[in-house]
Amino acid sequence: MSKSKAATPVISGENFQIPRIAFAWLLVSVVAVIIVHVSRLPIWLTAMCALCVLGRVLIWQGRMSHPGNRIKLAVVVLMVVLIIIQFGRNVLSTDATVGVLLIGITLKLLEMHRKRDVLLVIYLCYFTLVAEFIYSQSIPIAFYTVVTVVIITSALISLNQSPQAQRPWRTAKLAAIILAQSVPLMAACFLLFPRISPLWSMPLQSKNGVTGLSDSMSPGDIGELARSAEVAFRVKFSGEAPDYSELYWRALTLDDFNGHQWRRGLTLDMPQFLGSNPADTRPWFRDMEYKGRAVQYNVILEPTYENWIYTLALPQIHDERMLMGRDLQVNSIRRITQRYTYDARSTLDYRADADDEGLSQRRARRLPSDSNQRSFEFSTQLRKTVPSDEAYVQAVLNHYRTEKFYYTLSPRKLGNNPVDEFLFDTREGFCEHYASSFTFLMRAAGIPARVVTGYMGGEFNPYDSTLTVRQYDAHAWSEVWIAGKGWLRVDPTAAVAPQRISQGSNIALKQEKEFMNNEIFSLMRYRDSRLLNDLRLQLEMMDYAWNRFVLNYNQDMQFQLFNSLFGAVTRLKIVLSVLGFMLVVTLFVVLVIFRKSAQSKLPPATRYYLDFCDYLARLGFPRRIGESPLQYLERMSRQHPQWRPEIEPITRDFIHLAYKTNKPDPFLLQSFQRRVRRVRLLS
Amino acid sequence: MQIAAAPARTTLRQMLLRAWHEHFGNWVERRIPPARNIVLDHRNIFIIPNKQGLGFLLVLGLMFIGAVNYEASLAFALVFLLLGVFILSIFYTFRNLAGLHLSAVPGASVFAGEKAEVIVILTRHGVRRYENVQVSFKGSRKASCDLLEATEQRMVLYVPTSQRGYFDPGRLVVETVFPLGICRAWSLLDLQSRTLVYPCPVECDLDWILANQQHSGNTTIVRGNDDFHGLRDYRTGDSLKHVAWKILARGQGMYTKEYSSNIDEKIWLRWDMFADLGTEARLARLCWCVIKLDTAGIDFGLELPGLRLSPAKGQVHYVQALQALALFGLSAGLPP
Repeated sequence: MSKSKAATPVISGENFQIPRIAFAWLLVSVVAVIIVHVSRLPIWLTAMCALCVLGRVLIWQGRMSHPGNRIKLAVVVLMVVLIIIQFGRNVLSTDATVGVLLIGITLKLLEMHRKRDVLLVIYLCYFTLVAEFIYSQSIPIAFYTVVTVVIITSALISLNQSPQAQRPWRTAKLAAIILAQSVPLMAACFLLFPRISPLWSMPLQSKNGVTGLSDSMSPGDIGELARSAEVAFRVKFSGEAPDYSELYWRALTLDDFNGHQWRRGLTLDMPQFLGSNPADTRPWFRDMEYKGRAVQYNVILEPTYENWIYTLALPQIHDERMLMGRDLQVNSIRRITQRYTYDARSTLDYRADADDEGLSQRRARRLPSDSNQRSFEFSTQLRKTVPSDEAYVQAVLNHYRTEKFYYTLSPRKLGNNPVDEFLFDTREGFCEHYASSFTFLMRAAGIPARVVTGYMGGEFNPYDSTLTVRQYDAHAWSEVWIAGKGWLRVDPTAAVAPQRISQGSNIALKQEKEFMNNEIFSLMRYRDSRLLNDLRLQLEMMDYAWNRFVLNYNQDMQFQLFNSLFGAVTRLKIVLSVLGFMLVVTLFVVLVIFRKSAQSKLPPATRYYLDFCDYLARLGFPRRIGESPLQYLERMSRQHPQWRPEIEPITRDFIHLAYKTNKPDPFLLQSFQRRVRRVRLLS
Repeated sequence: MQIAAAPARTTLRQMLLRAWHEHFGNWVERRIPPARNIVLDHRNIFIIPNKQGLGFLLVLGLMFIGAVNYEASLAFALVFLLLGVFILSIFYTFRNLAGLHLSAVPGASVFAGEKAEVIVILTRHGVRRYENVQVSFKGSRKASCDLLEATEQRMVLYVPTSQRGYFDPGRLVVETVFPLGICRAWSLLDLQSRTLVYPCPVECDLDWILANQQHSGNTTIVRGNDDFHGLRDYRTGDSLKHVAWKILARGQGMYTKEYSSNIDEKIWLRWDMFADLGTEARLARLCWCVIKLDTAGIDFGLELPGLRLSPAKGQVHYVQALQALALFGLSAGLPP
């Protein structure tokens, strides 16, 4: 350590010059913050951000001057106009807000004159990280954000370093240490800080790029979903899971057909509010019969930007966020723009709406009479040959089974009479073709029937026994109403492709070119390699745990945890525990920061030598105060000549390492340490 | 009523403010007594989040609202992580001062109105490093320094002076916002560095004054000070301005140049020369005369009430004279 003689004081003047390292870290943080949003941003916005960053670099290099007020005003007006054009009525949506935020940050880069301006950019970068989590909270994004936080904090630290500081990595290291030390505090707050329900509902962002079911079904719609392996939802059963072929995840009930497309018609019956007490129920809801064993499960739903919820029929849910219609479709009160979790129990054997033939049954018989004439004739003919409605259902299914129908993802296009063309000409189609034509044939014969869309099956992960349902599991089937039995599920696809029902689309569609066409680079493509598939399943297990325990950590889980820790939950207890926990953690961290370890200050060679002296002291021969290593060696050699061959090399090595070299050779140091550690002296 | 009340309120505020400053000053005086060498520790370091820190908390608040409204768990985690950083920054900032040794050395004497020089010495003992520590006096600019590899830093501060006498620059402000800039740790230290400040010289007509000195009788002494007279051996105390440097540079020894005017002339600068002026005005003019005569290399004596310096010349005499002028009539101006 040297004493610096010529230290020139650095005077902090009015002309603020952003330190070099701070500038570098600042640019990196801005870029890091923008990059994750690029795929969602309009191209012009990304280009504008890039231009601003580039401009800032040029200003820094002195190749460009700061833009004048007129240029700045023009750019701001241009941006406002472009954003209004781009987002139109959605100008208050999250997408637009993020765009404005990013543009704001990059424009601010161009006019950083004071420390305050730089600070504003840094704070905005922190703030923008929250926007990232609105879109995705996956494990990779979490990691990425951690890195970004370190970068932004480095920028903040380097802004407060003196201008002489020249080592960016040292700054980053300090930032990482501070952040690492605040992790326990974060964990404490995360677990115990009371969660508040949203203060106001945020404007919804556009549904761009979300794959999933839509509120109507026409031929080809569901086949389109089979291209994607994106997760739709994940299920964990408590207790035994039902048979694979029973996993019909019901979403939408479509009972209005216009000759081409199925939609959900208006329901006049009031929906049942699932959070209300049992006394306050609709008659149709009260009359439902649940038979047999119920299945318990928890669902984590990926955002769909729609209202419907996936359940096995027939669900019994007590959840104040949900409604159930008379057509058994369960809807959330709010649109699902976030990952959404709910507990449900379903009774697979049930009787719904069995006795009362009313409006919904009448509607489920309606067909447009001006198209698909051949199918009308076919159904009339077939109905005459069988005694009952139920026999007719079987007869139609038999027709699918015996005639040459193909289950394929890439059927030929259908024209104006899609049901006719499918049933009698092309005879190739995906589940929606079968469900649609089957329901048509039922209605044509006067049997109430409707199309149901949702998902069928899923993939069981052997590592945590969760069921992952993906977009390619999307499915459509039918429900027919039989007097006295109510609405019954009939899946015509099962008649054509039994594999689809027993083993899933994964197996049934393996050979199809279109299947999972969107997943060229994903691990899902390599399910045939055992090793890669195992890896994928383990990653998915981690993902599930992440979703279940981190992302869905909510008020309920918090209350449970609190209950198990402190008993009954009171406000005072919450406040005290939060404060107490923070205090304890803070004290711990402070101890870590301020710890003074006398040993670690010594050079390693000295430390090892002192270890050796300790060893000798334990044998009963401590080094005297003020005794030099050589004197000690002489004294020990006189008392125990047989130890000299051991002690002498250690002493010589130590003297060499500690006093004769400036920077000890790490290899020598290591062998010295090993020698000290292995020494055994026998008396 | 209201018109009358408004100024009263201002006065009250001012009074309260003054009372507070006085109270705080006394408190600091008791809490951190003056010493030549002070080690910063928990007794003398104050720490509080600064404006930027409040801004940081504001941003955290906004992020928290975002997290609540979007129900994003990771956003909560992020907010709590940064809250942890905020709390830690208090300790980190404190640590960036704690253990630092400070002392101050007064610089050379100056004339009132000039800036006094104070050298502040920061020393670290042990392994802890310090970054961007700023020191300043009231009225001086802030000087910042690092103690990373170096164990000692000397910072020169320039403090404006206004009065003659021993100048007390006030309490030294040692402060830091490192590492995160969201907390400010500072201390107010009296390092007992006293600089002597001479009176501010005010020009006067020396010839006229001397001409009017009855008992002196010499009238043309100052004019002739350019006539070179000869060389004599250098004697300790001779003004360096009159050393014959060229001869010294040739290696022929040290000689003092003598001028016709500075031989045998003895001038007395007297308190009653400026009979119609006040104390400070007289001192200021005397100070100017002392500088002038010293530059000219003329022997002069100084006679003040209760003090008499016999005519002489040279650096020591010059300083003595200025000191006498600086401290004239100041009993409290004695160095501690």
